[in-house]
Amino acid sequence: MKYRLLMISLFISLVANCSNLQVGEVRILNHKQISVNLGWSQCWNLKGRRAPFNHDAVYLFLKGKQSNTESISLPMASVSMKSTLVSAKLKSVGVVFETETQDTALRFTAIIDLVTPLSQGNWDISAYALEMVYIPEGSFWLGDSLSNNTLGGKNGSPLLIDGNPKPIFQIGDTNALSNNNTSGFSSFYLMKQEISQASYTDFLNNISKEEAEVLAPSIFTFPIADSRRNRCFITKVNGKFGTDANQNGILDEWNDGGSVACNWLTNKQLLAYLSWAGLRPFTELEFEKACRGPLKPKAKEFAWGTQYATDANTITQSGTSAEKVSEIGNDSSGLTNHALLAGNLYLEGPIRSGFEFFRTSNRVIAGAGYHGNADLSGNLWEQCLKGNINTTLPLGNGTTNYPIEWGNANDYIPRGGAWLSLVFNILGYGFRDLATSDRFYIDYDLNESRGTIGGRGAL
Amino acid sequence: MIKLLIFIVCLGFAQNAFAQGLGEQSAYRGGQGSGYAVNKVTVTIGPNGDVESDFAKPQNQLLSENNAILFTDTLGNYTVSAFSSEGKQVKFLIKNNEVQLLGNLKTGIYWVTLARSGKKEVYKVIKG
Repeated sequence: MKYRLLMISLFISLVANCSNLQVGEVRILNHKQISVNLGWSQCWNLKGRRAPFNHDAVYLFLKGKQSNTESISLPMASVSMKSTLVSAKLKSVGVVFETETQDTALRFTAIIDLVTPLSQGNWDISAYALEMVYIPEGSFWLGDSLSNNTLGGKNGSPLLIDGNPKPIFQIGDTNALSNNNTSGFSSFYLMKQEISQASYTDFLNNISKEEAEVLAPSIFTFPIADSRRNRCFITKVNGKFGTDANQNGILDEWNDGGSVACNWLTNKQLLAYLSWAGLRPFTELEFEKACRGPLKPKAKEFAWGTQYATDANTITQSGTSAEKVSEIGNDSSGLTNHALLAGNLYLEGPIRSGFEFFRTSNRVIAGAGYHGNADLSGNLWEQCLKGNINTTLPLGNGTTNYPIEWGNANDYIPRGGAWLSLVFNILGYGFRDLATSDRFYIDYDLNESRGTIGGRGAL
Repeated sequence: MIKLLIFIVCLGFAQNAFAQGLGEQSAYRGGQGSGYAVNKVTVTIGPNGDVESDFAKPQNQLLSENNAILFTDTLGNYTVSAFSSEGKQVKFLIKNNEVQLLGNLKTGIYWVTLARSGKKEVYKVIKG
């Protein structure tokens, strides 16, 4: 009996910390009011308490669709909660929730007043949620003086971005790339994980069929078993997009790869998704801040702040929401998905973003950025606005027509490397795509669809 | 063996407490999911802006870590029942607005119904 009780206790202690974001019951209270049950685990809030003064958050947005009409965003006039542990901030077409305390399993109900009441008729209402990390206002260092095409000061040394306009150079150039770009100094929210395939197919199913055909990853017509897909499991069955990793013709089952990071995203596809969700792209200055926080740069360091990486190479629970690998990082070598030399095995595609996080991991072991974002180095390339773009980026308006201020593919640079990026734990080696400050591919054409490129958004 | 298990259990709880106290580490911890979730509902809005009925239409729910689902309404107003996908009754506990399914639940689909005034709401509950 004692043995059984102990086994039960052991089980409880092991499962108590799973991290899940859940959207529970969605209820239409009347034509002007919708309630949504939300829950997430492992929330934290250090704002105003101690370094790094950040917190996590959940971003929620609503879409509504009537028969034979296009889906529309449902902007919010106000949001209230029954829980006093949660506060809400309205954004362009959604709302950000943050907790005032730490809780391993926070759940609450949000009552949302709509700006425009629902008209008479049948409605399909969808509530989408994304986990975010709040990165506080503050100074940070740009560049590490050694990475390919690194940004920094005039002499190539790291530059402190402190909110005061100052020239930013690309190493080796005498002309400034920008004279007054201070992006990243202000606070912002950044998606904790990369866009997942489930999230992207839900997007495709919500927009018009014509748009979805254009915005679907180009590889989706290939047979699922085709190795050229590089773990993109997106396909279309009976007019509906979904994932089918287990290749049984039934979409979106528990082991169909919906949690795997979404690759093959062109810049246009990424921007359309971000605009539809009411998010915005992030800049390469914001990328470096998310990786490094306020800490001083180390030469060719990765997002987790050390110069060494452990390769994720052996997938377990493939295609499920618990997909991970059997390799483990350590206190000097962060775990991430990257490539090895030819002849050695490596994962030939992305994995579930956040796979490195477990119940006792720290920043390095989890291969995380300073503020807790997963996979900034490795898995899939991020698409960031280049350092010469100096503008305030508006949020998307809920449609796929993104703001003109976001520019086009030529204004973006891939950062952070991917599953196909070779990493040597030798600093003298020339290529180091995963390094926080590496900008080797400054002229990369992000109009192209590639199995190594994904993305994430900011608020 | 028992001493070893006691040690492991204590370690588990200690790590929980450690995680709570050492807040900055929470940012790097997790388990499942991709940081994304969605849920959907279909309703009919009546001519006066009222919700005509979403009753008897199954609504998807995910069970939380303690096999519970949280409802918006006060459950005291409803007659609650729970069934497995084979139609067998499942024991449950109601606490605040939460229905917690009891017993050694296998993964699969369960059903929770809320009945009131001759109307019934049905929730399809997924144990992953």
